[in-house]
Amino acid sequence: MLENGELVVDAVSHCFNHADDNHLHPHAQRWDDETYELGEQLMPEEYVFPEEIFYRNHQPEELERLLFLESQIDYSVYHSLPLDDYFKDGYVSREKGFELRERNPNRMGMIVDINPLEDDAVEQVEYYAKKKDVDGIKLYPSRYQNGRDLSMQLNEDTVRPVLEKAADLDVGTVGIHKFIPFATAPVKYFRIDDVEEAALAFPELNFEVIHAGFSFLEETVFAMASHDNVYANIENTAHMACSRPKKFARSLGEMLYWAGPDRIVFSSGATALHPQPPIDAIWDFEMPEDLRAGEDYPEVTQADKEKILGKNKLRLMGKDPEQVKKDIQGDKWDQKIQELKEKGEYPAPPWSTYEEATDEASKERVKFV
Amino acid sequence: MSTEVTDHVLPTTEFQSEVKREVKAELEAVLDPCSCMSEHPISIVELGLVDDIEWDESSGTVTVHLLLTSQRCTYFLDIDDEICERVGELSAVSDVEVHQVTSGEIWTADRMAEDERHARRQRFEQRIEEAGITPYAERSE
Repeated sequence: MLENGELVVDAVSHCFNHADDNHLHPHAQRWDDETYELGEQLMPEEYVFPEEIFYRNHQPEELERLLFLESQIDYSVYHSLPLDDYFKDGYVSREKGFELRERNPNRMGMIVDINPLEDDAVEQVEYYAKKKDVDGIKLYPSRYQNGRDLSMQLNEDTVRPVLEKAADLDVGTVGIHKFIPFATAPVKYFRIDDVEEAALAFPELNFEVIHAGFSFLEETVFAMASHDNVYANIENTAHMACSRPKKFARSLGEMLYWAGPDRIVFSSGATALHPQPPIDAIWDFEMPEDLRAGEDYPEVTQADKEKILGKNKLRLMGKDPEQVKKDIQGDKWDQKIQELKEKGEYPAPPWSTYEEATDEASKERVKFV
Repeated sequence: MSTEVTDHVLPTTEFQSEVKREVKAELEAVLDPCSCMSEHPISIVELGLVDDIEWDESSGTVTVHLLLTSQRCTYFLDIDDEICERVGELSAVSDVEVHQVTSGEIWTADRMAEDERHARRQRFEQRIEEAGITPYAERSE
């Protein structure tokens, strides 16, 4: 929670599995290492992970402590990932997300990954919407199958039935990875053109474009300005506020100028990154004078920051901030937070709530890092 | 080793060394893979990716320093291959090395060639105008 009592809502968290025995493809190792390097590049030095913490199969109890004790986050939306072309459990398993939500029903939401290539993809959407009450579905723009990269754009026939079912069932949010290319997939899959088409075709769905502001900035703000149901989810981009302030300022400035402060949602990206540095950096952020004068970027007000750090995502989820505050007041995390505050130790120091990994695969992995 | 120092290499950058001029001409033909997906491909020089060109006459080695738009750019290997192929064909060059700058310096749009930056912005603003979009900042005033 912010010092002024407003909620911090994290639109994307993950429980990654970086253990060796999770690898399925030669690129899996590279993916692990690049994710580690991303943290080195985007976070202040004191927040960069010790390798024995990063290279493990992260568990729900580790993520919840990271989010609720080591950062000011009050509510988080877990995204499972559909990368089962590369990792046995998809990299971020569904099971851990549902476990987290079960453990923290007032603090965790769930967006479930769907692979449109699976024969029962549409049935899966129905199952997760009706039986599991998910807050949305997560899609990736490309799949790797039988040695080939396959396009999974939102305007393609393979994906359309999934979106139709999501719209029929009022699933709410479609999270779509964009902007950061991976493995061997052609870069054209990471452009945003298909999102515009889908946003127009499915006005009842909200499209959270993940990693917005990282690249293709003008295309992104055009899509946001053109379609009221396109949102910038600033996972990873948010961390540039502390490590790449000039680039962050330009990304945020363009979004605010063209689309306004209601269409940007903060994401921590934990466990790939530590959740606290971007919260501090965004809260302290001021638009540089040269960009205000030269580019007409607006001043970033405290009200804007409250929207980006929490209110926008709650509005998207149809949640009343005051009700969320009541629901979490006095819960086990709130009690622990109060204890830490009394000792002057809140948020807890980076990665201090992690313990030694207990599973054999994670222990083995650490031996080689 | 050449001692010419450049901030970063742009189409307007001039080199005294003939080999560097030839290298720069080859680099101007290497297109940024991301821009190739748009209607307006631009070269890695116009995009401001080329941080420096080094020429070691004694060994015939050219080293091209690239500052990528993202350190995670997965197309570095493609750019690397094309640079090595093109520059390696120059008669004075016996070896080509491509080095990814990881000094902590960040690529921003300011590094683009000014003409290209303005042209890109004009295309964006034209598209916005054609779509009839009023910026939020102006709507709320």
